Amino acid sequence: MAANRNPVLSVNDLVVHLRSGDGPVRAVDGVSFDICPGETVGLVGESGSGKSITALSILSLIPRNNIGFRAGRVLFDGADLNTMSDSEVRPIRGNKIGMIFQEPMTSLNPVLTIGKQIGESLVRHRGMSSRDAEAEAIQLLDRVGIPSAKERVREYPHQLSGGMRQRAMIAIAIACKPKLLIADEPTTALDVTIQAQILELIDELKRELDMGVLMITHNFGVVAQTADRTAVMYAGRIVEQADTTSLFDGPAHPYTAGLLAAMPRLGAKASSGRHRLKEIPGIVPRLTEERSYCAFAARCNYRVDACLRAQPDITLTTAGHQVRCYAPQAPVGQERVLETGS
Amino acid sequence: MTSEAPLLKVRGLTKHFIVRGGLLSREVGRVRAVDGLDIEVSSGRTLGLVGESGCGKSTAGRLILRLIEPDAGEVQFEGRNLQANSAAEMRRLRRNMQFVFQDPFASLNPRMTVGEIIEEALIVHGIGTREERRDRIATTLRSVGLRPEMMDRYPHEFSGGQRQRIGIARALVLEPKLIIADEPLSALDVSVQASVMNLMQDIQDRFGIAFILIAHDLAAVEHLSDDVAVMYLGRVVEIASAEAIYSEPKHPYTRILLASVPSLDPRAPRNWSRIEGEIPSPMRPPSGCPFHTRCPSRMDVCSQKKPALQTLPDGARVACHLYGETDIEAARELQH
Repeated sequence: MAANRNPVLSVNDLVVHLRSGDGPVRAVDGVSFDICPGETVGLVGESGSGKSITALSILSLIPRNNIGFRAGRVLFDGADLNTMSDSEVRPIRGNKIGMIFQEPMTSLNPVLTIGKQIGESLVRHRGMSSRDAEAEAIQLLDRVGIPSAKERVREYPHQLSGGMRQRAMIAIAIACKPKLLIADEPTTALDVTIQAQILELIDELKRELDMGVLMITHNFGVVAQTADRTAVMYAGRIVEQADTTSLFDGPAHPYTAGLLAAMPRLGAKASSGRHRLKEIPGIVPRLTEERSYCAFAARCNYRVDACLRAQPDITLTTAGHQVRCYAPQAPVGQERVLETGS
Repeated sequence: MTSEAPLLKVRGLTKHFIVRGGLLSREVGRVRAVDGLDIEVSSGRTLGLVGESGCGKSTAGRLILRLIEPDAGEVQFEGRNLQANSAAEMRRLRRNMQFVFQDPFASLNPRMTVGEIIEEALIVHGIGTREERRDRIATTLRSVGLRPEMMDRYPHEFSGGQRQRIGIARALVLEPKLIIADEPLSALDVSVQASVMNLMQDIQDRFGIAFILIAHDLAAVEHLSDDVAVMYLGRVVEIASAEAIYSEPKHPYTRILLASVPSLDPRAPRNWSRIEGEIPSPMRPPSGCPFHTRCPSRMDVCSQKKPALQTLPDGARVACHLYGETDIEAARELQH
């Protein structure tokens, strides 16, 4: 549906090395993806895979003296965010690009009312008067499902529940009708029934505002239910990227296939009884070493000689299904099968 | 559920935390953290305790081990009443009941070697000579998939998954009959969770240990549990076999909880729109059935009368006016 439109965000070979006591950490190591208007791209991976650093880099939110090396392009609305100064990025962030983070309590300002925090960006980016901004803030709170918005607009973050705080964060993020919403683990701190409500809300707003959404999460279920396309990150790289259905139906990278096989499925007990889960042996590699081989090779059951000689490039298994692997699991043009990793 | 005498039997367990405020620290409210909990676990079986934050599942685990003193209720272990026991007797019983904590980073002393951390439990219970203890630690490390020589290393040298194995080894070394594990997976990555879940099943098969698994991850609880109790605002609303709960949930809350879990199948229809409202404060639980404020099937009786946990013909127990005689009784009450 969004395929024929120009992307709102186009990330091209993004590289971000962070400074550390042990030398440069290759947190993001050649990441490329596009997001079209009205499209949700899921960026999924385990801790340390580089998904959050990718988001923070797009927003230029990593302090410059923590960055050892940065390369690649982040094209938003035709301009490269990666080459902009802080003062050039500021009018875009919070205006044309909205953001939501995991923990609303630490991202909201505890000494400002919810209304002030929503109004802030309207005053700054839209030049509204503070009275108009408050009226708009009430409408926004109402839109994100906060009951009695007129009273809530004067309250402080600590007076709201976790779910309501996340709704307030979303109201701030969409206040200026952004073209792109970056949501970094937006429901990780929330209970499952509240998570469902928040994901539903983000989906509705995406359609209303025709926003592109970058949904960053460790939760494969969240991606399966919200993303049009899914990118799986491992050790700073996107190892597999495809439309969501194709990725979950036929994971091509042994890491993706291994993760999906390692997760218990809800409702499986009645049919499969007590059984063991498939494990992925080993642990994630250190990101401080320069690597001339596949980062997953040490843990991979499908390793071939090539895996130890060079980092695999992106190849296509089928149209739009990208994988970085010398031994992909779902061969080109063949019927995909659900059973993997055995 | 099994017919043999349960290893652990909990009846009417209750804890209300008093909330104080103001200059004189007067009581300003009570949090009904756990409000009359009835559960049982048999040897070699796992009871999953699920529910959202504030439902009381973590407090319940601590009350059972008397890490927190309950206000009321009874905990029977192998037929003996725990509350009635002296501190010395309690320590002896506690050897049989161990706790595994959520955070493998915070629950291991960083200045002790892994061997010392595990040995501490043995010393506290006066078990073995130094040599015997080292042998036992080596055996235990092997049974959780670690190498015996790792006992001389410090926690920071291990990954998250290995640290959780150390936490399990510390519980296991005393050869307990019951392990209460509070969110043992939630700090771990997906690829590591699978290996810790397999380990829990392995040690259960080998040593016949009973588990109470407290967790919010509904798929993991299903995978590991024989029986599952669903809690809401301090009370069990439904308890049944894992198969029954997940294939035929009876309580409207259980149904909503399961429907809220995002499916790993992108084609699965989303069933999220019927979920209303937020979890009420446990300081001010709603009248009648505590779930009636969010329930899509609520009736008039639900705000007036608290439904009792009753056993249905298929063995499932559910606290809901939609089922059985309670609503007939309630209707009769209303007529009078």
